[in-house]
Amino acid sequence: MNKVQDWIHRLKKGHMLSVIGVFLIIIIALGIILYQKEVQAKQVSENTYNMAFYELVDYVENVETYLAKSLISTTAEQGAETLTNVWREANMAQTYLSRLPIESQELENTQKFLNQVSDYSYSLSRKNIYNEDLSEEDLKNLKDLHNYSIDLENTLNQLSEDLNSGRIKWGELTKKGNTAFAQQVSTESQEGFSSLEENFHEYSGLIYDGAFSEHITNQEKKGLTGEEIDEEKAQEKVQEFIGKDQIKEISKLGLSENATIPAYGFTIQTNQDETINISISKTGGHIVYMNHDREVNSEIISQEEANNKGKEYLTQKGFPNMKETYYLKQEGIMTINYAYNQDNVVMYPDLIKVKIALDNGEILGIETTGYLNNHTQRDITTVQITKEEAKKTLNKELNIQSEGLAYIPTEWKSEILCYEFKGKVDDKEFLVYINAENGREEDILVIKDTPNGVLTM
Amino acid sequence: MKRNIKKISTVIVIIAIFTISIITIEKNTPKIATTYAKTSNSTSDVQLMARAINGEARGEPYEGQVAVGAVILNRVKDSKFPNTIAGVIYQSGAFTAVSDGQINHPIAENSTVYKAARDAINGWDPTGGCIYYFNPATATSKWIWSRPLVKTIGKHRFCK
Repeated sequence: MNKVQDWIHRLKKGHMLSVIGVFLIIIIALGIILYQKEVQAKQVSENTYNMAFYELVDYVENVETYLAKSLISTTAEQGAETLTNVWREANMAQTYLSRLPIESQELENTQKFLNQVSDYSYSLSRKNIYNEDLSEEDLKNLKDLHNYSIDLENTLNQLSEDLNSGRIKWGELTKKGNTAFAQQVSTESQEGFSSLEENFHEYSGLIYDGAFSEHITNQEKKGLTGEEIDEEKAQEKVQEFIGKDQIKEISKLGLSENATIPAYGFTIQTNQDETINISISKTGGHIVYMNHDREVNSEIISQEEANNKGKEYLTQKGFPNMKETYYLKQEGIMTINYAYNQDNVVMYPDLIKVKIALDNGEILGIETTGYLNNHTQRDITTVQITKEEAKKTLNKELNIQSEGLAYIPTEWKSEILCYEFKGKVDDKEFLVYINAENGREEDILVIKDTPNGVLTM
Repeated sequence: MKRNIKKISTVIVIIAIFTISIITIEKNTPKIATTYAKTSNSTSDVQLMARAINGEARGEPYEGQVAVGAVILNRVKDSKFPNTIAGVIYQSGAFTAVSDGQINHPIAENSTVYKAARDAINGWDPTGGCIYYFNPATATSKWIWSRPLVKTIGKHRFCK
């Protein structure tokens, strides 16, 4: 005690007490400011999470209502409208679901359910627009989806109560960077949300004409032909592809059995000490991709020269009859899309991309998955309507510049034989695709001619 | 008097350390990176993806950078994830670089992340269709080990 008094006394002597006092006040003030900032930041994220959650509940309720309506709708117009509403509401629900502070894998199936409801109802609404009746199976699917949406709605309402009563706290779900307090966190909040996922334990997904259909991942790879090869054989293929004289060192990365296209990977050191990555398919020893990154500092090669170099390269590597479609130029490297051409019909699904360095025309990369997934000889005799008939469907303003037949890919990995009309309206260029079997207008693309490439949107 | 001077200097040093640490904390709070794209036609998607790759894999080999971009795009196409690039990147808890602000780390002048982002958007997928990856040295989730492995690139294990 004496010591302290003595200390204070001595401080007083040197006016130190006031100095320390001032510093203390500064420290406390800074502490308060920091604390307030922290509280503010917490409040902001709390508000964002609450908003996302309540939006989610609303949108899921709407999904449920519109699905119920779609089940009893009898006219195509009403059906199309109701299903379009399901599509929109489910899409919004999915957006807000992904904003909740929950690890993505814990809500995987809920996410998948909402995505499929949205996509599936879009695909059905198109059926309605074309005056096709919904099949027995479609109706059964809608009914199942409706039941799932009721379960989801109920769980969400339960969670909403838990949130209101404070049993679930967003702060407990976002415990990031707060390891000191991690042990005190109750698991209640976490468990609350896993009940959402439990609704979908038996949900097996849907197969339909849409981007999120279940069958897409398991589709047959038509261009992946040939016998299975081993790693030695794959290495020979690599040496042949790159050129033995270019290779200083080649290292095997092994087989990726679980890849969409099972393939052997290799890394190559070239004589110039650059790295090339290359992947050779197990079935048939096809090249899946090759990629070589290097600085390109000048642009000497013209677009046309690059087109031809790419085409030459493809022919030499066993891909004849490829026609350039679009290109993009970035940092001295041109990426050109080539599509297979069969009897003057463009096969857009059989897509190969080639990267060309514009300083010396060297091929820096190739990517063939589109080709390997889809390439096959097509039967073009399915054309039912003439070009003249197809033209009648076109907008009268369209000033046609070129026309032809083409296969175009759909979002659900099938393909449609179409007449392709390229034309101008005012100064805008368009591609219009008319189904060659039934005359439907399947797609319209806008061509954007930018200084760095031609793009379609 | 000498003793007092000692004390004064200790107090000043302590306060200086404290102020400096507060300033560094303030400085370290993520700010939007102000690096601009090298080419004029860079869409916002390429930029966002490049920043994500920069945050997640700037020390990785080129193929590993393209692979991270490919995973983002594979997620966009997968029904179990959001349907836009921004939706996938900013999904809660999906990428550590987003949670800890590394996504806003400035992109170095000679960095390859823009090229990697474009290669991924143009369709190069070194992962063969993966939707997850993790660094075995820092991964905390046991669940991630249960996913079927496709391949290892650099420090990351890519799986389905």
